[in-house]
Amino acid sequence: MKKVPKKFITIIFSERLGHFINEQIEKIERINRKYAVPKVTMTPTARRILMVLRFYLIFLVGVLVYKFWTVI
Amino acid sequence: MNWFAKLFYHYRRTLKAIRIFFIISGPGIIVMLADNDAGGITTYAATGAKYGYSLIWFLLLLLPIAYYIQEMTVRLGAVTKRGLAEAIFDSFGSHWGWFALLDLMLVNWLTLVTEFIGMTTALSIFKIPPIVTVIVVCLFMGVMVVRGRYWTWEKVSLLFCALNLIYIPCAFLVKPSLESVLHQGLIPHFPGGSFNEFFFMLMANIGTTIAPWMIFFQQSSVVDKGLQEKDIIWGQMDTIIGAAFTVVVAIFIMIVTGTLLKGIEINSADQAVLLLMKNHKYIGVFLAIGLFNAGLLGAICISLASSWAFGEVFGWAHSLNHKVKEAPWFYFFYFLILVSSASVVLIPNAPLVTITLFVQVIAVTLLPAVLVFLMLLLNDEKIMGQYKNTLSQNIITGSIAVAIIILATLYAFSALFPNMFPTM
Repeated sequence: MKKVPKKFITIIFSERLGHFINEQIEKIERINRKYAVPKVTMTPTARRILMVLRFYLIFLVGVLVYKFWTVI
Repeated sequence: MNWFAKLFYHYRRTLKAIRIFFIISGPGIIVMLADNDAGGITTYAATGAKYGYSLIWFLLLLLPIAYYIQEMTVRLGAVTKRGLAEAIFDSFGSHWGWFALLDLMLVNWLTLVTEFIGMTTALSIFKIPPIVTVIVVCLFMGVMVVRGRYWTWEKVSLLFCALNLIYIPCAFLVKPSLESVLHQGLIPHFPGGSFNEFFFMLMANIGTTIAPWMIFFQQSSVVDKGLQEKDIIWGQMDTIIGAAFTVVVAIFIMIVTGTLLKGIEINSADQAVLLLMKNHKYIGVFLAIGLFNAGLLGAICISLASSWAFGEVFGWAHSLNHKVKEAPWFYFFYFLILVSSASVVLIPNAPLVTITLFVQVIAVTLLPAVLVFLMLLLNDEKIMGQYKNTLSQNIITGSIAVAIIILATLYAFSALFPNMFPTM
């Protein structure tokens, strides 16, 4: 049996890997399109609660980043 | 004759109700007992050792807290037939969806590492090397999902739940004074010492009672089991029985360490086991077995919670009723998180203490968001119809959610900045 050169194996592998990554990116884009519009009834209270949650999370992430910055 | 016919009718009705309950029950009991995972056992053992029976009343308060939060997932799952991850994507858009999904993956992965720490520590007491524990556990968990169906998986998990009750005979073996348990345990009081340490302990106990993975897990489990709207009442009973079991187990752990190790500072479960072995050989052994079982039960649920969530969002087949060929990505993801988290424990000098601390902190970024999403979804008439939250449910769950968010945030801050709160 003829031996397949290493170069070809690398090309096939990188092609397959590239194909796989492209497939996953497409899938993520499909998910983003599918869920682009939030379906929950956005009452003023719901809107306010989500806004507070956004600020809370930004603050928390800020604190975590600060902590790691000072530790490192 | 008439009363005999009535009696027979009631007997048949009760028998039928019990049969239905046994068919439908499972997700609630499993999630609640898995909540007493390796981290939970350590927290309860440390609380008992530090404060004796003084915080039993507080554990009783955790029963309605756990029930009201988890009960919402039963209704949401039975009505929408979707897991929470998919529901968040669909209702709040992909930005919130990706945030919840990726955060869940990170928190679950870290928590899974702590479960493996608990399991390897427990078995190392019996001189079993960590590598053997890790390989056997991974193989067992693999066979459990690959060879069976949802029903088989659930029954095996319930068997481990039953083993979680091992702490009950332990408490009888240490012969605690019933009068002291009732007197000190049921009357709320400040047991003395540093208020900060006391507050930290309360927060740790709440932190182990409600975790983000539990919310995702129970909803996905309800969906995979195929619960319908008419089964909600049974799902609620399943949840309240599970919540009662989890609190009973926690109380009995507290009684064991409160009787034998009162006044001793406990930092890890293996320290508690070794100290208990010196006092009473069998209790130490029981605690070690219980710790291993708790870690295993936690690992079983957490790894599935992640795979279910990813399967829902990516549209992969994601049921335990599917064979590996039918749902390859679901099982691949399950094994990926399982093996990767298990390998961390085997890395020499891995920062395991930092990881354990990290779990609590990262969980705080997810828990408030999940509670908010859950409340908003349960209040949407378009989604929930007649099963949406009532005013009284909103008042109770809203108060619980606000209290959990505040306490969890304070807990995370005290873990990140230990000197932030001055000693009182």
